Amino acid sequence: MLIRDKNIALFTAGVLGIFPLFLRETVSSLSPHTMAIPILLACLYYYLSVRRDEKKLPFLLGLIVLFPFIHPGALFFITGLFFYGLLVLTQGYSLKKIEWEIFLFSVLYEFWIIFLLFKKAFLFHGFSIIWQNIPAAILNNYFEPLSLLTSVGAIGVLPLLFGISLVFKYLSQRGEQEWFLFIGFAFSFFFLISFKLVEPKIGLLYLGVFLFLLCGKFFHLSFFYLEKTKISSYTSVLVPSFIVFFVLSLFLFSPSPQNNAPSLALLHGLQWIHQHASPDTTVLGTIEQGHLIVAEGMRKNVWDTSFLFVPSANQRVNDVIQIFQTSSEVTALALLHKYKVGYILFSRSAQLQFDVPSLPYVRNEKCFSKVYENEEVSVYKVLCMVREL
Amino acid sequence: MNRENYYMIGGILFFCLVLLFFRSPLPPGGVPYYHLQMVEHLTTPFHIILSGLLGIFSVFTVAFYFPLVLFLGSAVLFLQLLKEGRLRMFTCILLLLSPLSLFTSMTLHETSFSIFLLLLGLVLRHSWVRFVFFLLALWQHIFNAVFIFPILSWPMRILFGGFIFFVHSFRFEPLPDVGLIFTDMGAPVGIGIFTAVLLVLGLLELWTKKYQHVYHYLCFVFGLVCWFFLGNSVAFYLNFYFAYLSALGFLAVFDHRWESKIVKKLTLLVLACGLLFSFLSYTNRMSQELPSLSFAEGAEWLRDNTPPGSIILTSPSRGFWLEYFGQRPAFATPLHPREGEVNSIFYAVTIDHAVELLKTNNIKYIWIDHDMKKQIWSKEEGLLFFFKNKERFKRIYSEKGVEIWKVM
Repeated sequence: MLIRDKNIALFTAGVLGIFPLFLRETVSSLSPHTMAIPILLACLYYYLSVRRDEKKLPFLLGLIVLFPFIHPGALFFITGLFFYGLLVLTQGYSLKKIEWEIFLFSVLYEFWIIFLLFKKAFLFHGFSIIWQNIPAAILNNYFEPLSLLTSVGAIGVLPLLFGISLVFKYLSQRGEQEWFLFIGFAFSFFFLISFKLVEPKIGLLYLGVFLFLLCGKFFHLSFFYLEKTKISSYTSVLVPSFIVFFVLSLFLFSPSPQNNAPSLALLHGLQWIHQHASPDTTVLGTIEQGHLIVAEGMRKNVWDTSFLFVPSANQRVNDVIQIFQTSSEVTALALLHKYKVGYILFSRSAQLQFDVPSLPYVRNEKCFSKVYENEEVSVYKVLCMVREL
Repeated sequence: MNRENYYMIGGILFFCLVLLFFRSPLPPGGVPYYHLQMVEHLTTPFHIILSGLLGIFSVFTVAFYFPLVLFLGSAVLFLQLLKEGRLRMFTCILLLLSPLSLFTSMTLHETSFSIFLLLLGLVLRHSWVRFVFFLLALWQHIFNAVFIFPILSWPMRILFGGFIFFVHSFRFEPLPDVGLIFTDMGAPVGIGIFTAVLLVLGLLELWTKKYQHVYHYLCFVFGLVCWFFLGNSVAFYLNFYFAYLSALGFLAVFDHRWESKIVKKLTLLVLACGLLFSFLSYTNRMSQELPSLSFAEGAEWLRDNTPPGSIILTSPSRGFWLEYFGQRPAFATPLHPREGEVNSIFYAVTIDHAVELLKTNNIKYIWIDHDMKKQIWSKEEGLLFFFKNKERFKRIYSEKGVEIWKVM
């Protein structure tokens, strides 16, 4: 709609779907963002349509109404619109009346639904709900500062350069107002990442999407310019070479997409738990294995990456770290009893994460029995409990 | 009677119904129990009136209905000060949907009485009788001078100002967190997020006439500053002003020439639902507020089974309830929290130190309940751990999450 060149639009959409972080977080992983991103983009599409013709308004309202029920990322729509409004007004443009109305409605509606859905969490945490009750020990890893190389690797070198150059072009010279919408959204994610209001990985994912969209405009302007030069006669050679070069550049510095996938050995260990452990037992693993224990092992876990409704989350994290690192059998048993742990899933990632080659106290076979072992995972059954006399 | 009056009466009836439906078995919070005890001293007009009412009605009838009558009376008087029309109707509805109104009408609080007196004085502003109410309000609390100030001459203002700031000592109770003004964010007393949105819209509406409403901006800022620094009592006064400002905001949205009618209708619907959600959510919270019946039973057991004058140690927030139901002096109350001493006993490192502190302060009994265990101790530590020593502590009562321990 905005690029006015089908080939460039198609190419932009194609490369947007394969940039490293997008591949890792949506294509090769089951994530709510797989749905949230298209809905956010659809909202923007209809927002731009409504600016031109109000007949599309019911579609936009329908999406706004639906969005918070799918993902709390609906709030990204409001922050994005806010930054867009700010940019437009500071650049000397004006917002249409309908835009103000949509913004007011979106703010009120999205906040109301988020309040309804997370009422208990809001009452319990207040404004600190932004940090989702994540314990301090985890928070430092969760919001770890991003290096330039990580950011470049996650999005791609050229899209980052092209996107940023277009932002500078639009901020320094006047351009079509519609593009400020994408620039505003890119700014909003940059703001959210900078102030640690969103997990950097997720922030970068969304930022990447908007930088790619801005890339589309950059391509359009560049090709428009090139057509006026003598190089235009070499287009048939230049364009395919550029496409190959651009796609290859995406994977420069990028991490392997399969990095976070659970290994087969771990899955076998979890399948053993699923088949042999009693259904009401609790299994202790690393924080990343928490959801796997529930999904694959079909057993309760002690911790996972969701802390929103966990009471004394800091205490729980410290206790789990102590279970993995202590050499005292009594301490370990007391803590295992506290969380009613029936099985310990000791994997290679636990070895690396807690810097322990093995659990020292499991040597006492009266209290711990190794019930399963493969090249990566050991499962210990807890047989004793500490009782006060 | 015009249509707006019908809406207002409907609103008041809805408010009363919600209040009766969600009523907790005992008056919530600690303040009502403090005032019920203070009745004997007859120190303020509020306590004198309360004493008179207690002579006619039962304690719980007074504790439940007197605040409601005071609030509704104040609401009617406040509406009398406004001109008839839609602004008055929306002010009434927003006032009734405010969490602060709910708190005021559920809790026996001296500030409600002050507000009632001030509003009565303002409604009768053309009669000499107003001075009687203003003087009573001043007797009730010197803070009320802030409202009487504008009607005084300059020499009197200076005299009053001096009196307020040099003679009377204000109790500064700053709010610990700005977020604690929003009930949707867990504040015990405050406004809803949607009221705050309407307040901003109301102020923006006033700003269209720029400096014509400079008094409003000053009042708003002054009110907020007072709320942050003097504590939640100020919020009860602000409730009425906020209702007026948010009604202005609501009317601004309502009367605005919208480009899209469907967006207008949806926005108004979300606003109404949001206000109602904040109100009902707060009502639900208030109905679950302590003290519960098990608290009253535990405290009454204490009254019947311990010698009079025995000092009881508990969390300061439980102090008034223990003193009222148990008729035994609490070591710490919200008025005298003695946080340092209480914490040094609760988190004592050795049992000898804990017992020494208990003996020094002549504490004979300790009250522990389920919520205290969760809120004060993250694990079995301090005093909670020392209770295992049967030679030093003996559990003499344990019912429905309430435990009473005797110091041996």
